[in-house]
Amino acid sequence: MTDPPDSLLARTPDGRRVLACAALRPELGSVLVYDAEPGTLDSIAVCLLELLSAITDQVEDVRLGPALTDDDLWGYGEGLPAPWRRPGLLIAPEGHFRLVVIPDLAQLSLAAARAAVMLMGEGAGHLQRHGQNRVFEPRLRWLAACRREDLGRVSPHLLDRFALRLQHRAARAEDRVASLTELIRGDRRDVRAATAEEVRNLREATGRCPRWQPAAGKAVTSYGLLERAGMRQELALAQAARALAQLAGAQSVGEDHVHEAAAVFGFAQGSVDSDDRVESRTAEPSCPAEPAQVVPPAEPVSASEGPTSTATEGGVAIRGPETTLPAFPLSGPELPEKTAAVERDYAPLTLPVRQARATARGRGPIIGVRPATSLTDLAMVGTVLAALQFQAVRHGTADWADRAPLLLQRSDLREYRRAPIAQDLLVLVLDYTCLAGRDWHAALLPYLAAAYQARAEVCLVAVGAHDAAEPLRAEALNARSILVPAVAAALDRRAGKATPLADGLALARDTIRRTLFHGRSAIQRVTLVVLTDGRGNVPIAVSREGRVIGRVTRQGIDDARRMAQELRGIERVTSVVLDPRPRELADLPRVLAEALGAEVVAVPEALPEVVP
Amino acid sequence: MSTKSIPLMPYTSIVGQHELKRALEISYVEPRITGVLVSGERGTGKSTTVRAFARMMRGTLPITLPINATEDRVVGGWKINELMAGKAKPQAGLLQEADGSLLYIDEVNLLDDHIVNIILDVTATGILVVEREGMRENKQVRFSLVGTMNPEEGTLRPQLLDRFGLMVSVRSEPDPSDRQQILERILGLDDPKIVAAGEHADEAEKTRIEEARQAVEMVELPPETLAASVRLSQAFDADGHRGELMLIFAARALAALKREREVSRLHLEKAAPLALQHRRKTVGAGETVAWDPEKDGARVREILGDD
Repeated sequence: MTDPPDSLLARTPDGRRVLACAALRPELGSVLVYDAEPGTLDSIAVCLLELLSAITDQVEDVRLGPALTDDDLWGYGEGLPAPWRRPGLLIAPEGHFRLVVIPDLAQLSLAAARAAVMLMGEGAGHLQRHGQNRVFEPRLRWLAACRREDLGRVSPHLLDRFALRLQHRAARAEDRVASLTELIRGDRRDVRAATAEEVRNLREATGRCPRWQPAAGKAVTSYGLLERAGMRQELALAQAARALAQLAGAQSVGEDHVHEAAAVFGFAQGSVDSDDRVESRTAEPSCPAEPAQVVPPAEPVSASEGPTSTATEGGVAIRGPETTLPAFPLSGPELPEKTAAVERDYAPLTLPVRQARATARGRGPIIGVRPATSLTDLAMVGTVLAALQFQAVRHGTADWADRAPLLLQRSDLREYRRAPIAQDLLVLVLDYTCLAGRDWHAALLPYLAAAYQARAEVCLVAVGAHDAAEPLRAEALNARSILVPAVAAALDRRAGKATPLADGLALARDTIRRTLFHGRSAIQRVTLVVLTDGRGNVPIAVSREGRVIGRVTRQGIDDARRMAQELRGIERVTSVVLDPRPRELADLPRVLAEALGAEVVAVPEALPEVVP
Repeated sequence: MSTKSIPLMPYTSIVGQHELKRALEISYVEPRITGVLVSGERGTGKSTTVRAFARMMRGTLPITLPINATEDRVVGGWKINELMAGKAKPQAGLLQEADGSLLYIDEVNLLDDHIVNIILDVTATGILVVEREGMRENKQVRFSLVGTMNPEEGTLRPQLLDRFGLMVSVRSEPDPSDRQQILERILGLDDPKIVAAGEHADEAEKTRIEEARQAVEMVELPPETLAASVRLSQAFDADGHRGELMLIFAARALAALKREREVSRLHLEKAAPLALQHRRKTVGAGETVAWDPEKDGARVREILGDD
């Protein structure tokens, strides 16, 4: 087994100071790494664990993923016999610390996301579950990874809880060669192990309490980090300054510590308040919340240079005193989560309501257990554990286990709480060649809104787009919801020359049949929306062959009608044809709708644009 | 873990947040105001202020209902250790523990719907019904409900919104010197001397608020203030009658806090946003119409100016 690739973060002194601060101060103990490879996150986790072990002898890591429930996280069975107890992942035993590692924040289960919001950065946790009644000190540090393109799927409330942000950069080829050479030669120093000096320094730092000087506060506010609401960014900088002062053994936290923290943790000076600082950019005090970040460099330098160099490799660039920071903005629209396209539901941290439809019961990922309201989808283990507590009372003796069966009552029954799943599919066949001069966005909007509300999956069949890979064929884009950015992008394509409408309808037919009748899809209902003028000039055979055969005739139109008739026969499909009301062959959309068995809705004309 | 060991800023050390502090004090002085909803974006000190207030007034952190609490802990259940030994000993739930005190729900808009229904029932009737193992018990409970929420993560059902007597929208302090002071106070929490000085100041503040609570019933309500309260409630389209009731209670509590003997137009003016902002007609999907301090404040003054 090979070691995970080292993160440069763990190899440079400044990088280790960042992690030491995260280990030392719970206020800084939540780190989010953008675009981290699994190996990178692992090596940062190893380093953090070693630094945490300087503070306490008992430290372990736990991993949170997409399938965890409240019982996994908070534990179950306190008071029950030992074999029935389940310790919680987030409840560290007395004297223990836990490093909570989240390999993919966008895939985190709802229960885990809610738990993270409750515990991250808090001095106390409250456990009120299944007879457990206590207030506890969390003793947790958090380390998570998320790809930038997935940030739109994560609740901003959760993202904001992270005090530190790091940007992973892929290693340069020469650095990887150097690393590989070291490995083969056996020259590689175990850079992950904390040195004795680091351990001693960290241990001593935990007992220090440097006083906060007013000048330090002024220095913090001079960075112009005020968000539209909240002071988290300023607090992060202040806490970073204090952590560095603790590590340095300083008696007080002064202005110098603030500027050092800004340099190490990557805050750019953004204010005119201080005459002594060089401004790197203009402050925007009304910008939204951003926590501290370490900034990547503009010019990567070899990892073999000394600790004062700027370096990049599999981790984070750490600034040295001789280098200048590039403009990786800390506030404004450029921050990854501020610019990420929104792909999350409204109120993503709320629990789903009970699914009323019988077809929905028993489907969807399990996110917890709750008292049962019916006999479907019972949670057996939860039911047994609930009943177990009452057996002694029901049997009249504590010594019932060997002699009597389990006595169940209705109040013991537990059912699974499941995340909602899509039961609806919107199939949109969009003919780009007929859209000019029509307000087709307005015509589509009700169907898109309905798809959003129903959390429907989406299949967008593109007919006649100018940038189609094969102009004579339609293309299908499948998305898990209307929020996926590719759907919005697909709606804005320009028209091509060919209109393979028959092929598009065939694609829609195949998608619908496969979804409804093959496999274990949860989809129960399909809405088919066809926006076309019906002038499909590409016959099915041409689409299949991929080349034009003979002259353009009515064959394409007839083929499209034939495909529509095949769609008509499919159950559980509601169809509608959006008619752009073409001037020529104006009855084609209606004819197509009749073949489909669909209602017809007219697409209004586009209003003329007002040119200022 | 003892709640006393949790580092917490003394109430009087909290910089700014005057509106929130006012709402909490009003709610304490007049217990018929059934609680405060605190809405604000992240990092605005909502939870800190609520906890500090509870510790100052009651000597302990508030009874906290976490969003993942199970029903047995909310309503009450049995002591599991005793059950395993064959003895059925009831364990009081959080609603019962909060009787006569403050029940605090952080991220209240993330609460399980089922638990919300229980809280709605109890706050509406004042009766906690506990059904277990074939037995049914009714207990009278009354508590002040304080909830904090980030409005970006969803809204509350109108029925739950209405259970909160007052609502405050919290923003961060824009002034740099205030923010410097906030940093100083937060980072000074490690210094026992600073904390002790703050706790000493809290004692005086507590006395002031307790005295107001004793005096509130004696504050007079001129008839014109009752009429003004109704006019304000109608003008802002507040649903139901609780709006004017909470408004007049809040105004009287304010007068008591200021050691004044009679409710005046000024007290109504200050209390209006707290009592009415979350009762206005919703814009859709349960979102309330935000209170505009300038526009709505001017309207309040205009209506009160008719006195």
